[in-house]
Amino acid sequence: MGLGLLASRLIRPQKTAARTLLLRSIVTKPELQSPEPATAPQPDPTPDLPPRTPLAGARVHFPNPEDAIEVFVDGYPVKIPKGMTVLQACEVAGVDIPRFCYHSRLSIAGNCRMCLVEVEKSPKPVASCAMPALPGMKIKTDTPVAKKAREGVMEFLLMNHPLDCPICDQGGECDLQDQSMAFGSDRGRFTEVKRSVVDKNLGPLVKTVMTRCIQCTRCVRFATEVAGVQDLGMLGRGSGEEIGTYVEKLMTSELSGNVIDICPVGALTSKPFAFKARNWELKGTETIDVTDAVGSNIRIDSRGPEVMRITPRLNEDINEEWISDKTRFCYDGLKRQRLNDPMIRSSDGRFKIVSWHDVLAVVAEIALQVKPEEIVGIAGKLSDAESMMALKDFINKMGSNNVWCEGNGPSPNADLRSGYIMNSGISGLENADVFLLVGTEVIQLTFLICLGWNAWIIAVMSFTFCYFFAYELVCCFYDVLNLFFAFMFCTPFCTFSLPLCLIFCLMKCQPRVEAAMVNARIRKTVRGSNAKVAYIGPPADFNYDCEHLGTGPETLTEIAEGRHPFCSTISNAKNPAIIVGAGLFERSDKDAVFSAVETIAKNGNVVRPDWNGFNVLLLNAAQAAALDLGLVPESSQSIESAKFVYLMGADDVDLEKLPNDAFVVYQGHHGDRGVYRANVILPASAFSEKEGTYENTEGCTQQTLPAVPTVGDARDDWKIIRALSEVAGVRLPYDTVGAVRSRIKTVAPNLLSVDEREPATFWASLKPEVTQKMSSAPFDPAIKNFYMTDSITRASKIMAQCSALLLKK
Amino acid sequence: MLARLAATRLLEIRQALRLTPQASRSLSTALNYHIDTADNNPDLTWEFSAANKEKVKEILSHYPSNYKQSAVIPLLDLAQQQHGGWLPVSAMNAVAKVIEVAPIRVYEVATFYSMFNRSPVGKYHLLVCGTTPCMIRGSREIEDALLKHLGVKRNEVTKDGLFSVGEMECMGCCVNAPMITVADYSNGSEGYTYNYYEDLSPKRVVEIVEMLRKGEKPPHGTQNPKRIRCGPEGGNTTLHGEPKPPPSVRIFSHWNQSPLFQDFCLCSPQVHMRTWDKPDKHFLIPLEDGCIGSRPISKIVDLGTSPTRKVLPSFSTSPPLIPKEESISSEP
Repeated sequence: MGLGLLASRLIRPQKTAARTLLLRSIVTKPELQSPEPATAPQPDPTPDLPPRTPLAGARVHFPNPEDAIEVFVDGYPVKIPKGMTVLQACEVAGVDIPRFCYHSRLSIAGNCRMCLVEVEKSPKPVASCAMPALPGMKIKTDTPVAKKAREGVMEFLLMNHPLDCPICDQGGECDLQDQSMAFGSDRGRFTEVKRSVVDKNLGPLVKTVMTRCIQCTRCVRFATEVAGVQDLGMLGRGSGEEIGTYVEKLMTSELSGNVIDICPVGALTSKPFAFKARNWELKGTETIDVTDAVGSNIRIDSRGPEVMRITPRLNEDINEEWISDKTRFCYDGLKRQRLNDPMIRSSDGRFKIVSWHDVLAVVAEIALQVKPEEIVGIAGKLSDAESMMALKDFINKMGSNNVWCEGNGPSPNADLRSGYIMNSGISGLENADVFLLVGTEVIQLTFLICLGWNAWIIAVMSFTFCYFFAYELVCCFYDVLNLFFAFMFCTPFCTFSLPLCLIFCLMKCQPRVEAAMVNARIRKTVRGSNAKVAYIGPPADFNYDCEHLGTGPETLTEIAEGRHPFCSTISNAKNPAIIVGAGLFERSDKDAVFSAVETIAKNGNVVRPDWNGFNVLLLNAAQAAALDLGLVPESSQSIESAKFVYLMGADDVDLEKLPNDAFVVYQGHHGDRGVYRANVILPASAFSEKEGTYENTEGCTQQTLPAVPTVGDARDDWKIIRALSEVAGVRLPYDTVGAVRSRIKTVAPNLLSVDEREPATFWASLKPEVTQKMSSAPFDPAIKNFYMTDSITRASKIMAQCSALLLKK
Repeated sequence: MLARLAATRLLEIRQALRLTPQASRSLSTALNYHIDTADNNPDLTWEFSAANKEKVKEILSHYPSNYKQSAVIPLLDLAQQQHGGWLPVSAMNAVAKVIEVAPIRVYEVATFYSMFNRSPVGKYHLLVCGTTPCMIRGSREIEDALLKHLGVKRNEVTKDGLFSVGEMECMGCCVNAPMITVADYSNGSEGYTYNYYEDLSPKRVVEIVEMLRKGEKPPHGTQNPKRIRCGPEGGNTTLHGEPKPPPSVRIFSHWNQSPLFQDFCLCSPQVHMRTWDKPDKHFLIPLEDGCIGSRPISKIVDLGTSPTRKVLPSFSTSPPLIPKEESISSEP
């Protein structure tokens, strides 16, 4: 925030007259009692002003160079694009304006008044967050008028704010605390009774202490605009004003945890983190999240060996500054159900703790006994690229090629990278105007919200009613959904066209549960540019307007063959985007489905040199890297004939068909599903405890960093495999992470360019003709429970509470 | 030290003297959050009646179809009239459905306005004005008389469900203070009336309540038989004759505000004057004593037909505040 800087600037010694009075009256700082507007003409902006750097990565982007205007912030000239607010201009000039209600990613409310600055020729201080900067404006942020205004606002804010900082979880990272230190008076004049507000129950994640609330309405705007759940509101008026849901209602959003971050005071804090630690005791480790394929940038705050909480980091291209609740609150799963020691299942079915030496010997012996083609290696959904490389090398050296990553299906297509990553990129989705979501799902709450949207659509519809043909009219009355559809069909015939109508198509793709951050991005696009979204898949709940075209492949065929009215919407779109859910990978007719989608893409001009709107939304953190590394099984029936199965954290593989005499090694960090069938357990470290490379769904390579020491006798995955290979006599040629990475470089060099997105080079048109027929089975939801998708989240108590309370049907 | 002690003591005395230690005054009839009760919970079904559905259509027709949410206040009012003077949460949900917004957006409005009652009220909801003029004229006594007569507390409904007493802020009848207003929900939204009863006394307000109880309609307006509306007691005392034509002198601009005479006027207050009979001519009346009143004609300075800044005499030097006639007449 740079508030420390501000505070130090304010605290710097000021020349004060020697106090002759014993008592100071209970008013503002004496020097602010009669502030004079700073009318003295500023000397011409001279080069002797120290150059300032924009604050906190404030970026200036000039969409149109002619629209640049110049304003003066404290006499320092700064060029900004037209339409920026005074506050943004100050940020560009390197001046931090205190604020509570303003948030760069939310709409402007202008109700806290903390950002008051003096503007020359303006009779009063202006709220800089809501005031557009005008050419030649002379903004003064450090004058007595501005200071007095802030001090007055701060006094009002503190009037009803409880003095419970010592027991407040926000203490130490509280905007109100910091800013009252920097800008407040050291005493207040309010002698009445402070008001108190009843706390609200927002669910298992967000703790509320509403008495601390300063009514900035950031949470209301976040819930309405970003999360898309209109549950929170500002109730009452005057001193009785309070934030609430009015009726008892839990916040059923997959992004609800973010209100904890945006709350500038301690009104909304983390329930699981309550009274656990102080923020200054915590060590922050900047790493990435692996609970979904987005790879959200996070900071793991740890104290000693314990992960205390997870907070988001800013990454404009991936998660902006939000993370999903699963990412934020899965951390307690890292402490429970952990595998500490190597174990072997004895004849009575119980696990016995053994030493690493013994267990590796046993595993190696059995691996060498079975036929090479009976060896199968499956990487789990949380695996990093290094360990998958080691697993593949090990299994290959053992003579088998049956190695894959769970979630990629029995016969994944790893040949063309464009066939399994998000080609337009997550931030690139903002340029799309039409989305087709195929089989990617959102939390299946109810159909009710859809009804709400459709009603809204009717409102828009009636506006354009006169443009409808009789046929569409019939459609309208037939089905509300068709109405929307008819509307889209007619759009080209309307004399006016909707500005920038982008379409996304998601197929078997429910981004709200599969990748909440991608969903937030789509919602942002829909809100920002009125993009149209259509969806093929099981009935699902979207938090934006979405047309449900159908549930299965027949709709897809119709669109591919041009029989479906939605085709015209795609072909009329400027930047259409198709998002295919990776749940389709598990279908036996996946090639046919993908070829249908590719036909749609071809017909709709979705892939052009300047725009690639063909996207696959992966489900798991390991998927993309696994396909890059070529973890493709030789035979899709390998499980049935396997005698030695090496599960590297794979918990969701269907082991039903596994022969009873097969030997299963489970290497992982949690005693989860895979362990039930395992004969041997090799404890590994979790993502918070190791350095690993992950590739997210858009093809961006990122690395985790160890935040806490690992538990018990666990080791990094690739080290275990490396040790096992030596015992088995097929020594892998690498001893360090660096060496593993140079091996990865020979297979997938993009996995070494960290924090860079490597776009796919070739487009799927190179693919051969597909002869497979699509089955008529409708698309299934890929994720049954958003809160419990992997071994860490299944071990988490908080996630269990969430799925019990928030997924109530 | 001594000063601090004194300050603390002062605070104590102040708090001891405070008459009603009321932390906050609730203007509306309910809390700002909902508590489920048998007659007020989201599971109850609530719909506009057939007649009101027509009214809903009529109200919605006032707004563009993409701004249906603008109808929230009239629809809430209609729902309140239909539901006997208060809004259960299911009625708010019904309104939200009609205007196609999230229910919370309707709750926000309903909690903001104190005239939306979110807990039951009587068929006759008596609202006592509590603002300063009425309070000075005895609104507290009126309210006490009502509460005592009905045997209820504020915002509580009588056992027969007929009456409830609330407080309201200024309703613009200060001239006839004290006053109460009676929201009559006994006849549904068709027969809904909202009547002012002014010039009340504790005795008269009880009489009004009793008349309402019997189903009579007490005459609304002032309850003082000697007054006609807000006229003075015993008839008008002024403005008996015909209105007079305007005076021949029109004051063009007061005080220092005439744009023509900015620098001229900085020294002393003046009036810039033009007359009806000679609209081209400009005069200046120096107000050396600072107040408006009748002046001898000799004091009026003739500025000619088109005075400009340039030709105006400068008064920046004292003493002559009043311009000499000669100095002006010497102009071309």
